[in-house]
Amino acid sequence: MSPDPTPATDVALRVDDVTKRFGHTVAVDHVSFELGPHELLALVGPSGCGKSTLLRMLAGLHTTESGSITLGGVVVDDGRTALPPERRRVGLVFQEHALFPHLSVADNVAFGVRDGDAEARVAEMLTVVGLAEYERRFPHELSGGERQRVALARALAPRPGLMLLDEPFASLDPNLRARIRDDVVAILRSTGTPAVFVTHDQGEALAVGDRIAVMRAGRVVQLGAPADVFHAPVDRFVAAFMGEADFLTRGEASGLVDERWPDAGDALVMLRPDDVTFTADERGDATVVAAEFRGSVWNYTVELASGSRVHAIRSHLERVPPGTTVTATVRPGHTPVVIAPPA
Amino acid sequence: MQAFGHGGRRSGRSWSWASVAAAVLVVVPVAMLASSILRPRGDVWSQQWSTRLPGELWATAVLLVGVAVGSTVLGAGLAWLTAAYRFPGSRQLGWMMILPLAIPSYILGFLTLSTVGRTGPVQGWWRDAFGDDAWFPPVESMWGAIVTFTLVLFPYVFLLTRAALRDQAAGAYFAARTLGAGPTEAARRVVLPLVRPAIAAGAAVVMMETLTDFATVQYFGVDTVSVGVFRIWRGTYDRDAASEIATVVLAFALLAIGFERVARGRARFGQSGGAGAGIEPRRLAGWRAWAATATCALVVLLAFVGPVVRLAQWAIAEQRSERGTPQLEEYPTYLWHSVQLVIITVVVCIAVAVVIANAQRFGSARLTRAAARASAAGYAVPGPVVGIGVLLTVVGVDSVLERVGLDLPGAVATGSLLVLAYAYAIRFLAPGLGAVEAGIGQVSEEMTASARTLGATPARTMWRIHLPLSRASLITAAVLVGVDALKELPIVLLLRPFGFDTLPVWVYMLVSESRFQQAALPALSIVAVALVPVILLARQLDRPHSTDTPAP
Repeated sequence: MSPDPTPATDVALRVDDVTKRFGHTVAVDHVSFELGPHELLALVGPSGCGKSTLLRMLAGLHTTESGSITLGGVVVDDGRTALPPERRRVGLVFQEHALFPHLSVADNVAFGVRDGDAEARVAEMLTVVGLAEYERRFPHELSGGERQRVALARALAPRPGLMLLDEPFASLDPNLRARIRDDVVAILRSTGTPAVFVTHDQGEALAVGDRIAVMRAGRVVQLGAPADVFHAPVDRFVAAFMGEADFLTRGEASGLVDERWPDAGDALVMLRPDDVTFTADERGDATVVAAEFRGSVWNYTVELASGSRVHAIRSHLERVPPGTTVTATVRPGHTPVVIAPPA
Repeated sequence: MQAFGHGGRRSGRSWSWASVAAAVLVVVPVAMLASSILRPRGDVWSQQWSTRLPGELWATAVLLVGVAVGSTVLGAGLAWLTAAYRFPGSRQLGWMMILPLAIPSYILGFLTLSTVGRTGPVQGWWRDAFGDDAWFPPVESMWGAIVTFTLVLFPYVFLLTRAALRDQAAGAYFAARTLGAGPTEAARRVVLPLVRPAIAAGAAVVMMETLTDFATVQYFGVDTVSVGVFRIWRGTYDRDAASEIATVVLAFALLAIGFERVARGRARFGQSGGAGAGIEPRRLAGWRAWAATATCALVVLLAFVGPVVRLAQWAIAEQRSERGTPQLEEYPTYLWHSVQLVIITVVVCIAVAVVIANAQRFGSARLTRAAARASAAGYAVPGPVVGIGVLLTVVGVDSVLERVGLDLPGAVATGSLLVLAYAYAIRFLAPGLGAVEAGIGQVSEEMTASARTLGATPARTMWRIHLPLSRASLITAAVLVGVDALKELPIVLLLRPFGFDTLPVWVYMLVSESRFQQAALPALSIVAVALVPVILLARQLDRPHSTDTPAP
């Protein structure tokens, strides 16, 4: 890897060719990426893909085997020597919050504040997270969402150069999740703190990340803006992981093929359920074989003339009973995408 | 590979090395002793072989096997009886079974002698009833020793078997019943094989405890190899000779461990279904119920209630006699020696345990875990081995220091407080370490990681997070170590500096002169303190045992 000429201040975090093995298992395999000064990066992948290990290496809880990690222009780990976590100025928020149960909310938040007026900083941070009156409470007296916000305030209090969040919303009640998530993102943005957060939930990654890094078996297989990752996945794994999709060859797609169909021979083409539509047509060559109610939409399974099946979502107002003969088409404005076979 | 929570190579390394250093301090004395077998002194062996050694070997083997069999029958039998059946008082008697743990063998030993021995009241009545020549089983014998040790040590087998029955066997027992096996068949074909490893482990502990003793066996005139070590060292102060015979003690300890491995076979049972639920006890009725109650009550009476009442009577009688006041005036000196030793041992053991337990969070995983295991091994090494090994080590260090012109204070060769405290720390580190590790283990790894990323060094993380959150376990650890240190007799007899007599030593000396009534007060003090951890344990045992209410 050649040294990057970009000034350090433009990059909050640089991960350069980092590798970590546990015994014979390669947990993180030659990973490289950069993070801008106010950027939120979502690290997403199935369990065991190495995303948590990577996060812990950034925090200094694991050391790298080779490669280097640079935080705010300082090399914190170059594969030989590593700065301990207490000297990296990173904030860390866990799924289980890990508040110190024997300390009050104020003492939890003050734990990492070393310089200046700790009391003022605690008050400031609790105001930021909307818990100004909670200073004297103890962690066991808080709800899950409140604990999450205290954990965030505690991690933000020492003004970290980088925030790391490990499945931060996984332990929250689903009803609460979206709201807390939006709050957390808003707080990170208002404080201008760059952040890497790990999730196995692709919907969360799409909603939160400025960019998304999809990991699989220790490697970052795709890194890009949420829309690009969702609509232009580099391979079938990313395509399937990021959302529901059907994969068809030109031959299997039969009636769906029109002038927008990519001219890529017999390569697989991805269709998301929102890419496909259909109209009832007695002379059509496709059949609705199943209908799944999803509240706001119906998700229909449509069998094409080739026998292949695709999925199509329609408004909950448009009820089509299974067995209906239809003509299926690619929705206007949508373009099917060629998917490279898995590496 | 680094542990999770490892922070920075430099700081992690110092924690790793600290725990390795602790492990080395524990292992070196045993290694020094074991290595003495590599340069044997022919004259020692031939002299020992032609005099006491063959008898000692035989006595040791008979004693260990006898106590192991007795404790297994009594401990496992009572565990099954109290777990699988309900009868009048079964719950209370269930936890009372572990009370005998509070009475050290050297106390129960002299009570046995003084009560059913030649001069005791029982044989007096016997002779009054059947004439002066009436036969009575000899108490000052191997049999007396086996019975005494069995009554003191069977609770170890009882405890481990009960835990196995509760945690492992219940689910399999129910499964066997639903598959058509009757209660007896299920017990024989499923429960017994499942609890066998626990019984074997209990029997191994019992053998270790028996092997470590050389005071109680002397009351009964049984000369084991441990007595041999004691006699050589305190008689001649011949370090080489003592260490040669101590290697024989070590060999017996290894045999006991080997026995456990063989008896356990290839069984490695983790917790399986039905943990905590226990076997649903069957209600006994009629004479069977009363026989069960009587059996349990008799054991508690012989092994605990009787001895305590006897001690209390004697202690009171002694205070009423004209010797009472002088004894009370001597008491504080012995107590102070004991307290000194307890405080030193507790402080050293807890400090070392805290370092070893924390190092597993901050240092290299493989290194610190190995160090923790090695440090805990001292508990399985018999007292005479630890004692002589520590002597060899301190003498070795002393001679090295002398060569470089430094002089260790105190008479190293004949025992000093330093040597004594070192040996105690090796013996009693394991229970302290176990409790401290359990406490730190309750602090989540995420908690440690949060503190570290918030700027806390490992030391600050330990002081501000780990220690406050494991305070209860630290207290438990201190109690366990302290009580063990207070009760300990063999090591202090072997290594004490001249005139440094603790409460157990006082009991031993009084008993050696057959002044049983005077020994009652210090003995009762020891039992009272030793009862604290036993009652803590009994309460834990009782909690999942409440079979009247469904398990949570």
